Amino acid sequence: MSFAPAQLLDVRNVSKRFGGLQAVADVTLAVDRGELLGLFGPNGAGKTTTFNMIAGAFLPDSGSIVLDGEDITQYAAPRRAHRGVGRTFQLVRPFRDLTVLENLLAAMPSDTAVKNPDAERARELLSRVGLIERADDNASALTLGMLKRLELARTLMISPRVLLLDEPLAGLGEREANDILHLVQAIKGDTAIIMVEHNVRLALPICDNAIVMDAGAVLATGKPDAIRRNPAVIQAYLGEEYA
Amino acid sequence: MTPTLLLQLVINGLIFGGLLALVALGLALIFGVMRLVNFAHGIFVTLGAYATYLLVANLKLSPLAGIPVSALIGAAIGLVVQELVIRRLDNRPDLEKLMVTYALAIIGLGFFSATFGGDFRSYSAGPRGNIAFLGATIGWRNLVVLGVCAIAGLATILMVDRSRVGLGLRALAQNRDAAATSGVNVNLLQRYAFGLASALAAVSGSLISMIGTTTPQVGEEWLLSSFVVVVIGGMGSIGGAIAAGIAVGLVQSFASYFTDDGWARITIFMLLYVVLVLRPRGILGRGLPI
Amino acid sequence: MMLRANTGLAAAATIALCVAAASLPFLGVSAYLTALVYYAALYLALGQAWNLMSGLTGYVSFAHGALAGVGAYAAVIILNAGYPVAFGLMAGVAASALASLFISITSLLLRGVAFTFATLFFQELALLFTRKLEITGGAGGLVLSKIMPVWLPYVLMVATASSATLLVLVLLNSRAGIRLLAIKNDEDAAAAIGIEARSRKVVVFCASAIICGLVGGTHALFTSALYPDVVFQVDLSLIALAVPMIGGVGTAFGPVLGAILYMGAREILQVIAPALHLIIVGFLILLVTLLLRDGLGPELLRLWRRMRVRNVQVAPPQRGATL
Repeated sequence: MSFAPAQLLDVRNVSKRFGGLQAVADVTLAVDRGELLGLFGPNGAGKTTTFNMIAGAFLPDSGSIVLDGEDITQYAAPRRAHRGVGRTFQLVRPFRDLTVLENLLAAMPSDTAVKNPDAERARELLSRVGLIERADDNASALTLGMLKRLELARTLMISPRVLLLDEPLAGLGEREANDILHLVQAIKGDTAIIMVEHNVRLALPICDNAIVMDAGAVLATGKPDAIRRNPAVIQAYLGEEYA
Repeated sequence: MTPTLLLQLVINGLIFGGLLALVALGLALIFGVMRLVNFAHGIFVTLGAYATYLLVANLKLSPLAGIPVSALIGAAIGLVVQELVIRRLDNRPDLEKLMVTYALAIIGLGFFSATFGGDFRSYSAGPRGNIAFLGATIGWRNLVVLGVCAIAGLATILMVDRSRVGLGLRALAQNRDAAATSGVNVNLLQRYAFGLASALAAVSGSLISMIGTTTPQVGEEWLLSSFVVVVIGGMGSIGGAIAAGIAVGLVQSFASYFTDDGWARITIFMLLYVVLVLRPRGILGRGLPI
Repeated sequence: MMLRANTGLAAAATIALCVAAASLPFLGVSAYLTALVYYAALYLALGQAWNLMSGLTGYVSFAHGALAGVGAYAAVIILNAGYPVAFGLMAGVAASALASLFISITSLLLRGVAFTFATLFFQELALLFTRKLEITGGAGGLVLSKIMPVWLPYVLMVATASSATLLVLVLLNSRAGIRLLAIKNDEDAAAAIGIEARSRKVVVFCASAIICGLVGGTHALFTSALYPDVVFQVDLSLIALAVPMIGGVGTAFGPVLGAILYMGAREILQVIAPALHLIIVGFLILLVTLLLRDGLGPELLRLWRRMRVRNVQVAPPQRGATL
């Protein structure tokens, strides 16, 4: 992984402090088109905070976030979405008063999208995530696995250039988790994906690159194999799983 | 502006502010612990006022007896409301929570209107006489009101700060889930908070009946001003509610003197808008986001 | 699409009903019935205005009665200055819209209860100001110098109620409506898919206020006299929210059901127990909110569907055209 300016998303030296806690200290990362970057780390490592700063949930104390040459550091969430940053939520957040189809139709097309999303595109996305039969069902009637797929499809409706996945496997059984991972790989295409995950065993293999954080800083970066073998990482985090 | 006049205005402001603080205290407590904006809070004020009125008018008792009686009735009814209605609201969207407490307020208002009619009720029983203080006159009655407010306010603060129950309440206010998993009995504490807040409101109603007139709308009127107080003081902040209550009372007192009651109220309400624009988390910025 | 056919049908039905209702005074119907339909239209219009704002965005307003009152006063002031009726109504609309912007700037950009507080206080402020100011006639009130024929406000009110209903109907089936409901359900999730909540909330509230302004201006033509305590009484804001809450919040025809039920209940109560009015309304709102969630309309629809479809698991009805 290089830090050449040609990266689609460039996150430089971001930091965030909450009261007395330095949650994220001077973190730098980058992700390119078609790259799936995994963001791992034990609890409290700061990966979720980093993720949220990229997503626009809150602003960094310092540092910059540059998307395709545009400084989006201070942009609020809707504006980031318009620029092509899409995100899912760890605890699914469907629009419960709307149907599955309407959940997708609510999405605003990003400025960089080729054409306006209409019902056809929505149905196409629903087919890809396997929810087309439920298109006219109320979102509140779906199971957790379905809701995760719905949220993925909804996020894809804005035609994001960067897709941020917040612990997509949380709460899922092994089979459903693998389904989601296959889905992620299938939809990747040209999109840059950053995935925060706890389930390293399942998620690491599908990543093109990975970053492990600990105590607010980057502990290791590199290809999945290198990460797996990195002694510091094993000690800090993977130890029990890979013992 | 003579010093005597100044002192008089300050005293009036303290009395009014003390009452406001007492009503706002309950609101802040409920919001802090239960994240609920309790539109029904005014009902308990009205309840305390009428209960005391009835004690005086029908049983010929001193209105001072109304204070503990109102507290008990307020707590009892508060607990009933909490168990029957409020408890079911836990995971509902805000609109529904609001509607339910508002509906309760309407029911209460309707009940009092139907039972007592719209006339103004007042009585002259109660502590009489004045004392002179640095040139100003304070009625004994007003002094009692001020005293009760102070005692109730202090007692509540001490309870929240020092006692185990208070610790539980503060934990619940800060982080619901963490508190629940730490073994804090959420239901019990919520009952306690709601009951206590309702009791405080009823006591303030009792005091209000002593120095003012009682109508079915009395609770709503005081509730309105209390909302200004909790916003200024910061939602969920007990200390903020007390400080802001006193401050608003003083502002009202001075504004009333220099203009009139109507403009004084307008001033108070405009204050709300100013605070919402400039400091939505309260003057000290320590309130919860509203 | 099924939905679209329903919308067209529903819209046609609304217009037909509007025309039918509007022609009543010309058919020699009794004054009592005319007044009944007039007030039903008034409550429906206000209810739809509330529904448009609070039903679709989830931000509860207690100012709708006051917004109508502001419109009424503005209309009367302009009419008394010699301008024609149309100008008066436009003034009413403008005044209400401006008032809504004032409230929006101070509170709608915040989340949660701030807006509700701001609307609550607006009601009070409006009352206090109209009592104080000379231009509004002070506590003595303001009288319309020219008496209007009854059919004028009547037709206007029926038209306003129908237009408001049509507006909600069309909105609910549009992308804009879907996005409003998304905001209502989860403002953060909506932001993540590019929905800018602030501007939408302000626009909707303004539209809602415009309806209120029309209602107020029209009602001023009907009553010919405005007194602060009557105009800004809490009752009107209560009705504005009770009608949709009871009938079916966030739907196009729920408020219609609510308005009919409310008028019926009111007429009955006037006769048997006028003092119980507030208690009954309060209880209705309480029970509906606690037990039925969406209001009577959607609940009845659910029951109807359950009766028609046997053995099939009935999913909660989609937010459709008719209800």
